[in-house]
Amino acid sequence: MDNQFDLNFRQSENIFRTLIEESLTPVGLYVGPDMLIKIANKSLIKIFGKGDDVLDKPYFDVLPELREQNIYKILNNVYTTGIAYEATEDRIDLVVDGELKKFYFNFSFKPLLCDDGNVWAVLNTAADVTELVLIRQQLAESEERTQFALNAAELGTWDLDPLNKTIILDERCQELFGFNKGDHVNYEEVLKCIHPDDVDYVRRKVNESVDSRLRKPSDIKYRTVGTAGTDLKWLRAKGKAYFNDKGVCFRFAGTMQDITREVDDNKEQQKLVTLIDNTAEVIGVTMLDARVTYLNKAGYAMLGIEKPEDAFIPASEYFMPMDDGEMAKQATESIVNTGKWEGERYYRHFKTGEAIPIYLNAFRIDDPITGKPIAMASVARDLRPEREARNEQTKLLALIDNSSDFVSLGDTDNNITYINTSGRKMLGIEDSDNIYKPGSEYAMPSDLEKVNSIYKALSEEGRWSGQVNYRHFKTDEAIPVFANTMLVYDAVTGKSLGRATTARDLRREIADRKALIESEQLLQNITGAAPTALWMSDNEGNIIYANRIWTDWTGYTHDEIMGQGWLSAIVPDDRKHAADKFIADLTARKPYEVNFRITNKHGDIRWCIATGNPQYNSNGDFVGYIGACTDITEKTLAEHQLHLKNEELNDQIDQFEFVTSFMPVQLWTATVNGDLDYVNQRTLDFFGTDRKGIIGAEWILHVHPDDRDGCIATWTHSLLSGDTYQFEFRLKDKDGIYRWHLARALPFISDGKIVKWFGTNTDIDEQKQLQRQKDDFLGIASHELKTPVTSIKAYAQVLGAMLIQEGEEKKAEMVARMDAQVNRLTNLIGDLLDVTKINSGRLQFNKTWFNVNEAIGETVADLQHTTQKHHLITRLQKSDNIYSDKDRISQVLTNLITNAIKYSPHTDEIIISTELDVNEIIICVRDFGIGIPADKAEKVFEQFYRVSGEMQHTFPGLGLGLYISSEIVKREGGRMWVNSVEGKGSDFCFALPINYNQTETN
Amino acid sequence: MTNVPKKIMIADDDPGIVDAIEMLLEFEGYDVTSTVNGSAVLELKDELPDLVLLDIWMSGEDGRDICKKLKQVEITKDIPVIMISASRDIKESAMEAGADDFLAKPFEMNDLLKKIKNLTE
Repeated sequence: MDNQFDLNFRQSENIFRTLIEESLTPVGLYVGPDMLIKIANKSLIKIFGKGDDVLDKPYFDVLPELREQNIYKILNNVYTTGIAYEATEDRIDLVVDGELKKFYFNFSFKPLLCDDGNVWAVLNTAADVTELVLIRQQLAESEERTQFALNAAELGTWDLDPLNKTIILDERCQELFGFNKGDHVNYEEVLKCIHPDDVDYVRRKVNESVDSRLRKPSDIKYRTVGTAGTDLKWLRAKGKAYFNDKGVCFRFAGTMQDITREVDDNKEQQKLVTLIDNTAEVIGVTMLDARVTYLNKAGYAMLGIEKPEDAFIPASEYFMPMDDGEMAKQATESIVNTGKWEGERYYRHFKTGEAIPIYLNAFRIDDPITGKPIAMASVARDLRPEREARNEQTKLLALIDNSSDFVSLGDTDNNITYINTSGRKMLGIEDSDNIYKPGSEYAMPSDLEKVNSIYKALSEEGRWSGQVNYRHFKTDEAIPVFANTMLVYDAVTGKSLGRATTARDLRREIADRKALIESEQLLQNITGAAPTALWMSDNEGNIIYANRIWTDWTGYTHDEIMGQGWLSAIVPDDRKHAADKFIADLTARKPYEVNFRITNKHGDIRWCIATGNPQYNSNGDFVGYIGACTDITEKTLAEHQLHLKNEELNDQIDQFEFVTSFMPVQLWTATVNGDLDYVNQRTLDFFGTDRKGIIGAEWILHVHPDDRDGCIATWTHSLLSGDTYQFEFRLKDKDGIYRWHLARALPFISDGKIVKWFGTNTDIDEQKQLQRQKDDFLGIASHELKTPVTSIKAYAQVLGAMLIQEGEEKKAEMVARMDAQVNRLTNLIGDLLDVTKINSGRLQFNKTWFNVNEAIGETVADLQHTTQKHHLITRLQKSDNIYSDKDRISQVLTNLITNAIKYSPHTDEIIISTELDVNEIIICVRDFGIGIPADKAEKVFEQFYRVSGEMQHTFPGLGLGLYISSEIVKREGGRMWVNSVEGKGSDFCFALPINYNQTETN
Repeated sequence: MTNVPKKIMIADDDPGIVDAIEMLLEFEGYDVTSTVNGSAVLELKDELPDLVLLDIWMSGEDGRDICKKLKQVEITKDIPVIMISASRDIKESAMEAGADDFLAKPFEMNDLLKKIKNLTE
């Protein structure tokens, strides 16, 4: 094969070689997998740029830089696949003169096949198009730059053919009119995109430009609204018309610029000027020579300038003369050097010459491009309001400082920074340096949680108000206050500056409130304690207040009572009347009074009387009623019962009257003074007088003169002591006849006081007569008895004497015993006589001065003779004489001793003792006998009483002795008593007064 | 004179008393005259008694009145009078009536003799 190739090759070699060698088209042949360069003509070698010695060398050895480029793959691909490759203006970088350079080639790789289809060589042809490519690139770039310039200037281009009404818009123009890029548009369509208000203007202007007679250069501004009519833009179109020889415009072309922003800017500027003109601050502009060239309206107003001519003067004349010295110089220098000056100065009012304090902010205006100063401007703020405000502030601070309320300020960290005088005083702060501390330290420790909640409220809502306890710095005392705390914001920035607090000391208020509550409580208690419901109504009759009582009574709540609610508690039968009466009284402004019954939920009925009085305010306007409801249930029931009782009582009184009239007794009542205030009919009948003749003190005249003194004494004693009154006296009847009556009266005691005496006079005249008859009888009887006894005694004694004379001792003894028995009989008769005397008040005393001890001694001695068994022992204290009836006292003593003997049959000792007390002498007789039961002890002094029981037969006697004895002692002004223990004996005592006043000579 | 018995006059309306006292006084050696009529005492002219025992309570007469009269009469005014009564209570009035002593019935004979003796010697 190789041989064949070599042969063929050699045959035509020279012909081809020459052709190829001389061809201007670079040609190369690369054989085998190694791409050995078999052919490379001059043109190719030149491209290779690697010298002539390239033949038989592997392609990529010659061009090693290509190994890294795409071509390596392409070439190999052609060799292995047998598919040709052609390239146009492909970039290939070749090292030329040791430098990698950029080239563009049109080239082809064509495989040469063997008979078996395998590639044996690749034929390479190439054309260097580097220059062409580069020029074209340059062109494109230049066009891009133009476009870029137009874009940068935001200019679009347009080209109108007025003859054919066609228009060519560049992309930007299309965009400006609202067309899509690449749309073909005609002139009419373009006009449609112009703002309706501007279309005619545009047409006119275009006509003016294309009119050969006018040929006006076109520079117009108008608005487009886009194809949709909404996209508003301001456009500026500049154009030039081209005319042919015949004066006909064949082309009208130009640029288009979006001036929307400029128009807007212009507007902004306009606004800015307006703003400056209308701002409150005075703004002026001066030239570099300080001559004023502009002054805004505020300036004219503030300085009283009327015309611009007056304003445009040197700036120095704007200031107060005094202010135009050093300060002005400084300011000018500062402006020149630093470009600005600010500070306080004084303007002068052009008309009044008044000095106007201003804060001046002056600055230099430099040309933004050249940086050279072109003018000066000043902004002046009128300081008068500020100063005014500052004055106000000072006043305000003084006010705060002297406010009676607590005022404090705090910073944003809740530290207190200021407290006014009142606050410091309230908290006991003497040193202002102590003020700066956390707000929490101002509160009581127990309120710490509250303080935190206050901080929270402040941060969330900006304010808090409520009650909190401050702490006194010195005493630690809690001071309850109502505090208002709020965050204070900067008026401009809106940022919190701190907080301000005002606080009101609540101690007084709390105390007052407490006092009020207490007094209300008290009132409640008082009104609640009273069984009275209190109420108030408004001027229309609606209940607006009721105390608890109504609720207690009815079970209706306070709210239920209000308005007309109270009526529901009234029983249905009374309700209408109560309401109607109230309405009627309300209408007439009359005091209200009505009775009704109310019921509670249990159905209990309560009678009420409601009263109310119309109330008027200080203007005399009727404001309502104040009134009360009183529970008169008890009263009503009581009245009801009283009514019944009264009827009953009247019946009883009638009966009583009947009875008292009928009764055979004089009934009377007397006042505590002892005057009669009532007597029954019987009394009147008896005396035959009317009431006048007996009521009062008159009654005493009806008493027998002999009985009056005793009666008055006894009655007086009873009135003074309250003891039962009892007296017997004779009353003179209507016929002038005295009749004995027993008067008795008892005090009627109410609440421990005697209020009245109730008495009776009982006619005892018959009893009295009978008694007297009895007493007379007894007196006569005993007298008559005594006479024979005396005779007997005489006979007996004569007989006894005779018998003794005769020596008849035994017989004489018998006669003596007989005499003793006669003596007993005598004593019994004496007792009977004494009783009758006692009963008839005729017991008489024969008083003398005598020695008690002697009298006792005599009696004891006599009695000792009568008994063998008993020993009478005397234990007598030394005593003086007393004035009394000696026989009677001896009689008493005898009685006591004989009783002692009689009732102590089994013991043999009897003790008679005396004891001297202050005004009396006490005489006792003690035995050790049977004694007296305790319940009987006092009865022994009663008439006919005898120690009872089975023993009575053992102890004989009439039972008169102790009665007579005690009556004697009583009538002697003394008293008698007994101490006794049954089975142990008795101790009978009596006391006699020692009346020292009674002279002994009497 | 000592041997001459004293003359005692007894005036009592009760014969028992008169009899008993007369017996007693005679037994004691007195010369006794008696009357049951009180006023008889006032008719004494001669043989005047040395002492009069006068009962106060006599039927129809009050001893005290007799005593008073007796004491008013010249010849009888010096005669001692012992008044006797069943009631002790009238001793005072008896003494007021001019009696020289008083004795209540019933009395111990020794008391009577003592009193008589006192007034007659």
